[in-house]
Amino acid sequence: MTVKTDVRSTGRRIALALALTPLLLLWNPAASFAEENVGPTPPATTTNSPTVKTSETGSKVTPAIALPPDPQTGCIVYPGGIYGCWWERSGYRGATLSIPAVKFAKDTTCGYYDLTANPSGWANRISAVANWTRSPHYYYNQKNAKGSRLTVAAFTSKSSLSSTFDNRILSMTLTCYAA
Amino acid sequence: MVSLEREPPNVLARVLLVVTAPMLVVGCSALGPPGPAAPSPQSTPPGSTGVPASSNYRAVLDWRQATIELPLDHFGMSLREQQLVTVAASVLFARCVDPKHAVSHIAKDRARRYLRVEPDATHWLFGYWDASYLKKRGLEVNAVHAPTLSAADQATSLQCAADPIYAEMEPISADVQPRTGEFDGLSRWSAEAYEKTVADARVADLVHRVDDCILQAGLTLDRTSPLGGVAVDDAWSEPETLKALVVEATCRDRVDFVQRASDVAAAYQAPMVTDHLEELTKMRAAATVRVAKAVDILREVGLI
Repeated sequence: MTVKTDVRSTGRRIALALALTPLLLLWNPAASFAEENVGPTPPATTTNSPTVKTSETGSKVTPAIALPPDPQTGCIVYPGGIYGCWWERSGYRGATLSIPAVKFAKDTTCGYYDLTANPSGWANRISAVANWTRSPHYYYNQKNAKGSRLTVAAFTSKSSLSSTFDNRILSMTLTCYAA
Repeated sequence: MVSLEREPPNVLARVLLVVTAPMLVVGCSALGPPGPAAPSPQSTPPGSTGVPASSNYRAVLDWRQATIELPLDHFGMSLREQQLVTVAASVLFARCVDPKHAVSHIAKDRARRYLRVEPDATHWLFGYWDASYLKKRGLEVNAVHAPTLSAADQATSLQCAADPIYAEMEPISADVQPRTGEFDGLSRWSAEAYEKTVADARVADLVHRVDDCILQAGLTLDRTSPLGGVAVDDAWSEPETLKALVVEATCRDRVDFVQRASDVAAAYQAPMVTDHLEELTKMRAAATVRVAKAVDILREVGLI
């Protein structure tokens, strides 16, 4: 019950932030670079994702973003930072999707649980990943955290993926941080 | 549910005896059960699984934690060992980013908290199962529980993340695509066996049975997955989603799906173990050394 309430309230906050994001992007010419094919979308928590779970992981508010993306990669860096970035081709090439650093009231597990739906266009299309958070990202080759799991540790990037995951990722979970 | 002794294959048993003996000497207290969350294989009663008779490799399911242990997993780190190196890495990182090279109380609290809970694991390799566990834990089980690293400025974080001592605390397991190619066989061979398993006709037959059960429960099927299962609607609330996934788990449990699929995977892994035994043994030895270092680090800061 608590979780539902938290998610709804954070969802409203995120919805507001997302509504403002396009406006901010309009003022940032560099931001359109990586918008080649896919628009940024928040973690699935903002769309009533099935596996949102709120959990306390720390009593202190901490900065969310560990590292900036390499400027060479083409990842958009939103004003609030990003949690990571995906590429459609190995070697950090091709279209990219930045994961915006949506702030929560407290550290929260969120994720993309069905890449065929959200963000659309990224199902079976990820060939390189970067984790710019201070917690692991878990990637799965089936929807809803099913199938084989790939752990991408904090501060780690993978310029290419094994055959199990190359162009075969369908869901992921990560930690969204407290504001 | 009946608890059974594990029955490792002969080759594995011999290898494991050799490679795990030093581990027991190094830190049996640290590697042993930390409490209620400690991994301990517990299998359902064996039955006819349809696996080729030539295979004496059997997957071991732990119904207390909804985890699956396959033959290749023996050569990587156990879940508890992965937990130890992950926490040790967080300690090293905390020390590295601190100007006085101290480990903050926050970092220690996070480390301590993770050591007390079940390690993050691949629970749903063959879809949702173990309905009682899923009901008990809920979807929280899919959360990231590993400790968040200490905050620092970008340059310091980069420097500390690149430190070879920190990098050496990377888990060795089928779930991890290692930074260097030295240990990538584990994930690669596991993946090959997995692909063969989900394409196996016996597994496909079992998927049909699971899907029939789900349909009888009035739910829609995910027809895009080779594992079958429930189609989850994005509009569902968390309780609704959990309810549907419990139905999927119940249907899989009813036909012993995960044990049977895991046994097929184990049969595919068996020749891989034989073919790469030397390499795998080296991986296990490296894992043992790495875990021993992790234990030393954790003892030094009083976490174990």
